[in-house]
Amino acid sequence: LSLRKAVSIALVISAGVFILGMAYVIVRSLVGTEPVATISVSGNPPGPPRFGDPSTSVSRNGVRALVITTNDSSVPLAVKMRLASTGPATFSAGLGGSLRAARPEVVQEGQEFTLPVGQLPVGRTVVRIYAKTIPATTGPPIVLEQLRIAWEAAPSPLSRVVVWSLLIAGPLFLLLLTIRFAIGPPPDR
Amino acid sequence: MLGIFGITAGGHTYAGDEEGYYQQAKAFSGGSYAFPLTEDVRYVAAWRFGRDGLATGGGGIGSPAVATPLATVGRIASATESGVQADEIVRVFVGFTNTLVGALLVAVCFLIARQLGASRRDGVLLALVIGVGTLVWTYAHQFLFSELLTALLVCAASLMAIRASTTATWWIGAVAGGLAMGGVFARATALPFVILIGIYVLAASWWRWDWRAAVRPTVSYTAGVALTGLLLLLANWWRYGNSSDVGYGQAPFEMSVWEGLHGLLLSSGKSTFIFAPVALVALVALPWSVRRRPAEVVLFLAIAVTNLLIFARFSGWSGDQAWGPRYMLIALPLFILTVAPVISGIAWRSAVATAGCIGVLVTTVGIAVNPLSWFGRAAAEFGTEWRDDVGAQAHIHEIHFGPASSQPVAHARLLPEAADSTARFIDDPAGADGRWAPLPMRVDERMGWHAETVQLDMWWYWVLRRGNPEWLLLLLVPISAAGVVGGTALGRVR
Repeated sequence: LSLRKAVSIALVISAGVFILGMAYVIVRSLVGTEPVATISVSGNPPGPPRFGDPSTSVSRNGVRALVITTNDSSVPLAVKMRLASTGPATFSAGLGGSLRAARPEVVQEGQEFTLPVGQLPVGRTVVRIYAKTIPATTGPPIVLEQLRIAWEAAPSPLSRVVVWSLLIAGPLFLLLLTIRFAIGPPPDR
Repeated sequence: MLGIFGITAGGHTYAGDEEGYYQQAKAFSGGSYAFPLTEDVRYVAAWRFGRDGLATGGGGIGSPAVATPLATVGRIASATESGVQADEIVRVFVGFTNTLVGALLVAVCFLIARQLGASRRDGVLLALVIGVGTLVWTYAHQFLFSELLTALLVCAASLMAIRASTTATWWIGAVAGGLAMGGVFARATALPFVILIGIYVLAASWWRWDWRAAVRPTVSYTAGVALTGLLLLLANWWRYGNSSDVGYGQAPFEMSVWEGLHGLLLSSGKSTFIFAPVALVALVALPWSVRRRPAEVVLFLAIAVTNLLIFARFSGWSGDQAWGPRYMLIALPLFILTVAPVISGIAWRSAVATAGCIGVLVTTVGIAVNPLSWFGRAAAEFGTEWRDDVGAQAHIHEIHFGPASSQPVAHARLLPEAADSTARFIDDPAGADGRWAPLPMRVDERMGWHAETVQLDMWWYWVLRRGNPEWLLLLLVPISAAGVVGGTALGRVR
């Protein structure tokens, strides 16, 4: 396998990755994912959210990360979720990655479900909520209540990988294209 | 290049100049020189009072004129829509103007490289590096800045001037003259290049042939300039009621030339060599390349130095708020092409490819993230006013001269945020939690809306994000097809 051939193969692969990534972004955005559950968190002293809209929801088969800023480690925290769609769903929550994971539970339509998160250290803690439901329909988000909480939603790992692939494959294609014309047989004149 | 530029086009305006050109192109497509000066356009678009006291575009007429066919297609395509959605469809189409201009520019660069003795493969390499490793890609990505069109016309005029001087053919000289004066349609500052190219046609023809043979292309060049100049006078009269009004107000060309040269060549945030590293290779190669093709290299150098000196005196030398030293783009391709006579040497070819690769990385971060996002963030960080064109504000000064705040570094830092925001949008396009602010109705707010959240800055993503009609995504089919056809053809180049 010559260097030129290897570069050509890599060129095709990088172009393919870029096009597939683009197709994923388009298809996923067009198909969409409706929120199927609503979340509220309770337990900490009341106060305004530091940033972001103080409401959130979990999309079908989605992941949400709540970044909770706690100022009192003695108050236990609970994440409340209410399934807004028909059909059962499993929910689970993890603290700080895989440190402590709550057991997945099956929740029925309209049922409220509380995940006892427990006491959190003062400062920022990431609580990840995993939802897995079928089927999904739209449900209204409810407001996160009575909390000094700053939240941000973490994108799903797949979407993150796809977007990064897109961002890397594009310039990589151009780098390889440049290299492709800098190597190879002697000039044609 | 059509495929690459087409897929990565931004599809929305980034500056008041572009907004003015867009409004002007839309007015032209409706058969008028004037556009309605609504409250939301008044404060964001570059505009002037026209000959009847109506509002018309400021600046050169070239870019809006070139964008008019696409604006017309956009108007037809948006016939079933109304309001903001109809306007956004026209914008998506007009946003491809610089895609076409950029692709043509790269093609002309290839032809010039061939004229200067580069092999087909080396010509492709050099054109490719100019296309994706310099400011050319950034401004093909952005909406409708006029520098790219000016660069295309000056390059095309130079190409035809070389052909005219080598063949002593009268009609080629006339076309060269027309194209050179066409550059003035795009930007008034291209006028000195008309004289420089004219001197080249005369001197190079005389040198290659004799004075009798030199008369033919020189006279026809002058005739081409005169005819196109007449058209320009008519266009000026049509828009402003004054044939000598080229569309610009009193531009402040009063800065210390040394200060401007320092900023444009040596600053950490706006140096041409950072945004187009291959220009450094061309600079080093000058002593060798000038020996191979003295007449052409001297012409290209003269145009580049003239452009540099003009904008080194300009108070807004940096071209903010935009990516890199925007005004340098006008003569940058020609300056880089001075390396063409020596590129057959393996050392020069390797240097061009290496600089090109670095340029691709720098340019990519300028494409992926909207430049206005960083200007906005920097202003917030330094607590200064966002909009400022003369470099007086702290954040602008820091972007120009603070290495950590320079655009390539800052954009690279913003890249993870752009990836995360984009991935979040894919996960939750409906924005059920109110995360995604809806597209504002007002034109002046829409420009800022595209920069508020750092996201992937490409038109097809914005079509999804703005909720434009999905059929617009079908435009990706011909654009991708152009890329595949071009890529296949390139694969045959040995």
